[in-house]
Amino acid sequence: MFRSLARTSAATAAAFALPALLGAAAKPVASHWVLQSSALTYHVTHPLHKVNGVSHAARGMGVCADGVCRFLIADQVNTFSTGDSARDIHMQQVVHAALYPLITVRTTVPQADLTASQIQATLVVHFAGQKVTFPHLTFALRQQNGDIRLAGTIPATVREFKIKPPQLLFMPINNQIPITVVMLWAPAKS
Amino acid sequence: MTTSNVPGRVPLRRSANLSRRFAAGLVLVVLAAGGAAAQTIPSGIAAMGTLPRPVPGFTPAASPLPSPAPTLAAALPPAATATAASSAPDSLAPAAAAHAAAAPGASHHARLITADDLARIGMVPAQQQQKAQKKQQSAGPPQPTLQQLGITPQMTQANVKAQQRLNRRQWMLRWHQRLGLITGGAMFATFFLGHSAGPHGTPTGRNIHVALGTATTALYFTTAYMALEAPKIPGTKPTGAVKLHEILAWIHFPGMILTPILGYMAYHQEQLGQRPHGIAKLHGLVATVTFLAFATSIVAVSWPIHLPFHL
Repeated sequence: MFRSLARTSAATAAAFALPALLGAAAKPVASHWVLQSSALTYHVTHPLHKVNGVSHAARGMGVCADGVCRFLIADQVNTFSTGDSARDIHMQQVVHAALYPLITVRTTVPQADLTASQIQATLVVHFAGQKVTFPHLTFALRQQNGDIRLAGTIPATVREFKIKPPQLLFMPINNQIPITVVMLWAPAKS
Repeated sequence: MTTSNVPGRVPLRRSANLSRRFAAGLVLVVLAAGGAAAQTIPSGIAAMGTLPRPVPGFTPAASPLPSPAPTLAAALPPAATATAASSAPDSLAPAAAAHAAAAPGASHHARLITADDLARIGMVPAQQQQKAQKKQQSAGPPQPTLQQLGITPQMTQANVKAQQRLNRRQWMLRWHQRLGLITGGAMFATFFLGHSAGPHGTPTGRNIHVALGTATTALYFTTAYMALEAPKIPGTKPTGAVKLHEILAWIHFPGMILTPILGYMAYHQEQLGQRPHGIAKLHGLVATVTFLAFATSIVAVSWPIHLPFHL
């Protein structure tokens, strides 16, 4: 009888411990995310120039529920810097930054994908008065002490956003203005 | 004993009535079956792949079938499309279902489109698809808002005056750039022909130099005006190449004031048959420094230059 009691208690202990162990292995994904730091860089190519403009001022948050996460990232156009103030002001004029001072990016991804090493997301970008959807973009994810580091490129073009390409010496810039994205997301502390 | 008295039998008149009713009913059933058949989609037609026409109310979803496979959209006759459109949601239309029930004989030749049929060939009724999309959108958490990010409405507000200022500034700087390049060319020509205006030069060479110098001066100050009068953007400090561009202006701007004055003095002395002397002697030196500062200024504002070819 003593032996059977021991067996029963062992089974009970296992029944309680197993979910806990499984839970620890699965690492439940946080329900709220905050953008800790970011570097959004646009790359402009001209026959005589290569210009990179970077912003570290983006703000973002993500909310997850029912297995779905919705993210919103916003950045002010005038926070992008190429290191040349004249060029930055020119960019602001070209993209009508005073009329549309904000860039917003929205995306919805499955919550389970946040633990993967890659994520496919469809981005809806509002910029320069235009709304452009970039479907099925792949971003690399890396887990860093509970945070998520995301990196990828948005293949933006001047034409999509109806921006008149600026010229230098009567030569316009290339249509492609890819935007490199590096972000560090952390679970929100509430 | 009449038949009417026999249990389970009906009187003759009544029986005749019933026969007539049955015949009429049969005709109705046959007509109904015909109608149902006309309003349903013969299953064989889909395989034939005739009548390519779009189906209103239906949108093709991402189909697993390869594109050459016959689609229902291509097979539907107009009557069937109307039925399909009206019964687009999940189930069969009640009237059509009644027709189908009333015509069992027709059922193996023709049958109605069901939602399953559409789903099987990768076509989902538009309303159903919209519903699914809405359901997907409504599922999960609500969309985060800009307010939650701490972005105030003031930060997103359009400022028409600021945009006008940017536009005017850019228009003026574009002309500054164009005129600057033209001025550079004119300055180079004036500088190059300066040797023919010196003590060993000719009167014609001197006159050409004076004319070019005058044009260069006019162009230069127009160029400078475009830069100086371009609206400033509050809160921005010059950084990068434009900073050196502005520093160099402190050299070539006074240089462009001095050079014509000294040039005029030298020209006047030459006219009097004298060699340039006094401060007029510095005309060439000041012009050289001005030209170099101006040329460097043009290169500086365009730096770094990435040539499309390797030297």
